[in-house]
Amino acid sequence: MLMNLAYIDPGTGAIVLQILVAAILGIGVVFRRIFIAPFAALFGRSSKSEGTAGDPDSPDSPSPQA
Amino acid sequence: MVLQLRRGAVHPVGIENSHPASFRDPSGVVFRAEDGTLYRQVNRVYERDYRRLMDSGLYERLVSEGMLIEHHEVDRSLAIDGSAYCVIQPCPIPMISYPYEWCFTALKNAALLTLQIQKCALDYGMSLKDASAFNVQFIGTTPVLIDTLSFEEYEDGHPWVAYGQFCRHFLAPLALMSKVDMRLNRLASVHLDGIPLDIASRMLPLSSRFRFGLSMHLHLQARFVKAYSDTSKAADVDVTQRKLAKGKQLALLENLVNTVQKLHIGKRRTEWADYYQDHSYSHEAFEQKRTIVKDFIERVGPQTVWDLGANTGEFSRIAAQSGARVYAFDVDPACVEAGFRYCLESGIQNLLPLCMDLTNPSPALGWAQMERQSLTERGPADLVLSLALVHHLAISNNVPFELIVQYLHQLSRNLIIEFVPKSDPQVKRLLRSRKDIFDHYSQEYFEAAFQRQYAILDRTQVGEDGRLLYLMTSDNTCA
Repeated sequence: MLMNLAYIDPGTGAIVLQILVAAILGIGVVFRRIFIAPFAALFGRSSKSEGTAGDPDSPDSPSPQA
Repeated sequence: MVLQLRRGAVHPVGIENSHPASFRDPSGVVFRAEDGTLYRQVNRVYERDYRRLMDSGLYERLVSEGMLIEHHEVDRSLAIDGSAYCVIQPCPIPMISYPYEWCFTALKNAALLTLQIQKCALDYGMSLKDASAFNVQFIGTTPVLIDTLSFEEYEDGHPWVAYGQFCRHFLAPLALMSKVDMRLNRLASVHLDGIPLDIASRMLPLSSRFRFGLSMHLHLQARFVKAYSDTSKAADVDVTQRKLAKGKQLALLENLVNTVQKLHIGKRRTEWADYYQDHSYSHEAFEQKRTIVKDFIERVGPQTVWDLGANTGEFSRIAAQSGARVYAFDVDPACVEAGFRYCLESGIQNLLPLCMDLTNPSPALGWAQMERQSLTERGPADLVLSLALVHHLAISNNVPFELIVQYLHQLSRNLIIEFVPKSDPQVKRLLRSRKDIFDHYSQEYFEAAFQRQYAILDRTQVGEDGRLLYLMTSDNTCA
């Protein structure tokens, strides 16, 4: 059945989901720090590229994407 | 910008003068004064948030970086009712365009702008309560947020209330255009509050489920929205008690940025994208056409130009060089995309390529068909360019010359139009697969039809195939 009930309450699902996604992202960062970053350092990769948060100073202004 | 308010010309007006798309948000109301100036009343219920926007430095930062529309506070007596805290006059947007008319990169840059603004707002203790794509407009190819009243005070630990809306308005159409078909931008004209995520989820290919961002923000969210749309289940959840730390929200936003940035459209071609490489003009004739078009444009001296059937915007750019504000319309999103990228790369500031099917132009949409304007309502332009277009309308779509004239006359009183005769290879190609029922497709009938509305000021032949360029006007004062 493809009945769409989202018009009754479109908001709650999105709120609950974003908290879940944020939690998963948090786990991902911890995982990378513990398991990936040491190996990355071992092979000479900059620790700056780890994590999902990226470089806060980098300009992420809208730009053309090829 | 210097304010030139003519006192007496502007009277307090009722709700009937408010902008028809402005009823949703109780924070304020957009209205047009009798002299045509657009104002925005900020209501007292929004005073606290407005002051915070203005006093925290957020407004200054966003405006200085070109992310938010600039405004000026004007006399409060201009307010349309007693609930006003103040009245502001935003810098005017030359012409409104809508997400269903934007190409992929335009929508992508609007999405990135929205996320960047939300990140910036959090730094100043504010948050976007709306993430509607309609709140972004383009000045040239630069996106700018026009909804000054969409900021609210950020309450520590609150999730982003506009997250779902962002996914419906930006992420879903971008993913569909990237992974399924570029033409799906038009889906946004059916779903004005964004593509329902269950539809997007079912349309997207299996491979999108293996991309973390798309699987979470689209596929999983679609399931959550469905699950919680059951009111009994949603009633068990007190969303005000659900917390999301600011750092986590920033990580979520960063993930959305990455997800959007990783979406691309490949080099898939549609029918017109390589038109300029293989069409029937020789190099010399093409250069001749450019010179004539340039000369015609200079004779009209327009401020706004609509290039209909613009392809990648070769001739729109000639109009843009004259200093006019140019909109290049084409039915093929690949051409619009190519034209948009060209403008970005070469820094052209006064040209916006938009997707438009001229046989079915954008209609008036939304509540009472008043929220989103039709293409015609957004005109007229000072000049319409209609090059290598008439044969597509007249032969491919069976539109008689008389009706083409009628419509073009609604769009502009000045016209640069190309007539492509039946002997032309392009027309022969169109006629190859169909019966020639177009006895009236001739230069003679073409001119007779157009002369009912326009005076022909100039007619020049281009190339060897009998193509003709016309400069026409119905404006007695012109040229």
